[in-house]
Amino acid sequence: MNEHLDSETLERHIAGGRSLEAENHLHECAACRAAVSRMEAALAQFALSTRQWSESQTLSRPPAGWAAAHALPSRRMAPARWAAVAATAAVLLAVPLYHNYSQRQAAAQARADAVLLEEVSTDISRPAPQPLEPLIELVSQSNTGENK
Amino acid sequence: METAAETPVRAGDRPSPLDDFDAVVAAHWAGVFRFALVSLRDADLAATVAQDCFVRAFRGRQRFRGEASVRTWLMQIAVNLVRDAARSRRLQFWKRAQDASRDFEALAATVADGGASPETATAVREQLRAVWQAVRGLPERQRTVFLLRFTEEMELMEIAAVTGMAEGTVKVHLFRALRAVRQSLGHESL
Repeated sequence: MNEHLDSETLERHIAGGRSLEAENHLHECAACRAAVSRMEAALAQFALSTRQWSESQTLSRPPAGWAAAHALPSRRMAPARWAAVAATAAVLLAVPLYHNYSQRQAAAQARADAVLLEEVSTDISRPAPQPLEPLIELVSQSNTGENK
Repeated sequence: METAAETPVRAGDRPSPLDDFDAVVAAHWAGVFRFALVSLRDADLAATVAQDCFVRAFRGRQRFRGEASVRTWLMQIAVNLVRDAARSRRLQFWKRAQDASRDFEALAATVADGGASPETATAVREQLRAVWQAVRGLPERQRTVFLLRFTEEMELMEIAAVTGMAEGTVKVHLFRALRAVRQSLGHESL
């Protein structure tokens, strides 16, 4: 009979890193087989106890309808979020509309200014104010008659 | 046999187990809660970790590429949350460490007599106490690897995927944890 398995080999075996050499030894050595069994029994009892301890807690069960309670808010927007989205959309729409309105107002103002300037220019270019034009015309005709 | 929730999830528009998230929660809540409870020894905190775990999983489900099982993916999140919770509550842990017997009594209460003699039941409780004390005293990584292996029954490769460690590193942590447990049990010599 070989010497017993060393601690590292035993621990590797228990952890799941099985080797043919260790398996063969365990087949022949009752003491090592008992050591592995004791350890595996202790670990199994620990696993069972932690499972039962956990299951005895009321919080170990998931709340019913978890997704409906926690997940849906990210899919379905709350009314406040809808209001925020609507307000943002309104602002985004209003900015170009206001911009166009301002541009149209500026164009109309420019046209009105141009007409006014044209009228002023016409007035300035007259030799006399418009109401005096018939008088000037009479004076002009009388001067023409005297010359004749 | 793999359950539907343990089947790797495929990317793309094919149906996946994540489509029915309530089923995912129902299948995996207990495991996530148990891991958090044994790691943190606080049921309320464990429930918070489980809740956060599933909220994060739900929000990140579109990024899940199905390279691992749903359980592996969820436990990755849970391990990180447990680590963060433990670090943020180190002071509370220090206080709770003085009341270690309370945790053990809760654990030992699960040992059913089941017709066994009082001597046998006492021996089982003492064995359980030795394992529990050893697990409590393990460094964080060794404890995580130990719990994933022996309470969640994960294979070494899956533990490596969950913890982000190389498989060889997982083995080293597991051997060291087992050695500590064997020493605590008094099994270290034949």
